[in-house]
Formats: sequence, C-alpha cells, structure tokens
Amino acid sequence: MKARVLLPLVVLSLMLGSPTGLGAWSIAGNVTEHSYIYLSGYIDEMKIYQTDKGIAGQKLVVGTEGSGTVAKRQTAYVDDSEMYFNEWGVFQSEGDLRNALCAKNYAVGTVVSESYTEIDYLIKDTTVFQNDNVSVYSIASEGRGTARLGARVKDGYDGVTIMTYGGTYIGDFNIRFDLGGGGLPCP
Amino acid sequence: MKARVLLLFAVLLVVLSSPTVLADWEISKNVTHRSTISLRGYMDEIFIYQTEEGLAGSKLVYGSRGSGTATRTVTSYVDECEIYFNIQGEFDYHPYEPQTSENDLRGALRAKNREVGTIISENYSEMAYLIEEPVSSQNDDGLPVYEISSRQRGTVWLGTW
Repeated sequence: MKARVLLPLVVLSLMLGSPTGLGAWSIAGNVTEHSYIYLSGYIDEMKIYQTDKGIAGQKLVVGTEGSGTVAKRQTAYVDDSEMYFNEWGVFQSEGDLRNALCAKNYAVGTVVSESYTEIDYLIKDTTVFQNDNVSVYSIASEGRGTARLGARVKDGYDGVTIMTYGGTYIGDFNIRFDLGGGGLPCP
Repeated sequence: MKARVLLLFAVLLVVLSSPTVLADWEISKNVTHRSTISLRGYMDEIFIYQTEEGLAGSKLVYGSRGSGTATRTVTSYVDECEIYFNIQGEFDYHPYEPQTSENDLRGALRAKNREVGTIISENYSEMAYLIEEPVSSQNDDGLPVYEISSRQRGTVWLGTW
C-alpha cells in the first residue's frame, strides 16, 4: 500500500521538479541551420521554428514571396529552451516582393513582427534571440517601399501589457529597432 | 483535521506575504527599447507603455502620423516602478506622392443571381493586366456553378456570403 502511494508521488515529484518541464526535447538535442540563397526570379519560402508546442516556449516564422532579385543569408540555432535567428538580405523588385518575420516568446511575453511589402529595394539585418528568461530583438533595415513593425511586451503570457508598438512606414526608410524584455540588466 | 487547517493556513500566508503581489511583474524584469527611423514618405506609428493595468501605475502614449521627412529616435526603459521615455526628432512636412505606373487604375465588378442563374461581370484593365472570368455553368441538378480564376499584381479582395 505504501509503495503504491509513494511510487506515484516520486514520479510526480520528478516530473514537476524537472527543469525542462514537459516541453523538453527527448531526442533532438538542437537544430543548427545556415543557408544562403541568391535568386533572380520568383521565390516563395517559409520557415517556422518553435521550442515547444502550443502556447509555450518560443516561436518564429519568417517568409519571403514574390519576384525580383534576392540575396539572403539565414542562420538559426534552436534547442529546447532557446532560439537564435538572423536574416540578412538584399532584395530588389518592381513592387512584387514581400518579406515578413514574426517572433514570439510565450515564456517571457514578447512579440515582435516586421513586414516589408511593395519593395523597390530592401537591405535588412534582423536578429532574434529568445529563451525562457529574455527576449532580444534587433532590426536594421533600409529600403524603399512599405515597412510595418509591431511589438508587444507582456509580463509573461497573461500578465500586464507593458508595451505596445505599431508602425507603418511608406517611402524611403532607414530603420534601427532594438527591443529587450525579460531579465535584462539596466541600460 | 488540524494538519489540514494548518496546511491551508500556511499556504494562504505564503500567498499573502509573497513579495510579488498581483500588481508586480512576475516574469519581466524590465523592458528596454531604442529605435531610430529616418523616413521620406508617410509614417503612422504609436507607442503605448504602462506599468500596471487599469487605473493604476504609470501610462504613456506617443504617436506620430503624416507625410514628409522625419528622423526620430525613441529611447525607453520601463520596469514595474517607472517609465523613462525620450523622443528626439525632426519632422518636415511635405506631401508624399507614391510613384505609380501608368496603368495604375483597375476595377472589376461581378453581380450574381444564383436563383435565376445569371451572371453579369465587367472588368477594366489596361495593358499587361488580366482578369480571367470563366463562364458559369450548371450542374446536374440545374444549379449554377461558378469558378473564379484571376491573376493580377496589386490588392485583391475576395468575399463570400
């Protein structure tokens, strides 16, 4: 009788005490990716990353669609508790090319998004780092077209909404955007 | 019985004496933001900050909209006690007229009557622009069947009701 009670308790305490929780990857240790694409023609690609299922962990989706000339480089590192992503690219088109990125950190409560449409030309360098404690987003872009940026910072998934930002920029733009949330030290 | 009461009481005490009461941030320590934008065109942006929900804490809203030439830098730091916000910018108004091609105006209209089975459509397009519109047909039950197939460069609105 004692063993019947103690055994589930031990299992339960192990599950609850695990630092990586239910979302831990059991087989894949990490994912590393580095890609470079040069294209003069039509492109339609999308990449989706996540560290956990559902409303948990960190997510990132990035995509490019349209015709024109594209030279871009992507670097990604994802494991069960953090992700790093960088996209650098030069885009040229006659307005039929679009690029977008959205990154979410449910553990910290941050979201950032960027999209570029009606691109005449675009030079971008976007870096995302997210883990269970901090989010760091760095967007640098210059171009001609329509740029839309958005960000939201909450205190965790269901906490107070600390910051909300939305911006639409049409024309010739040069953007530098840095946002940090979580347990970062004072600037 | 005593143990149950004491346990609940102890949990209650821990909850009430916790330093992170409801208004305090439990996960985010602080938010830092720095953004510089140089623009010649049109912009519409808004920043909203708060340290607490509802009628409490500190709030700040900043927005700018319009066309012209703008260079602005926003620096902000927010934690659960304070908001620091600095905006430095130069804004010069002039009208923004996006570059348009010669064939920039397009229009299309479709009207359907499914009960009668008629369809009227008209579309306007200039050179190198195409809207394909297949002829409607009827299926074995006598009901009209429609299929829309189009290709264009621009903005497309589709609706169904």
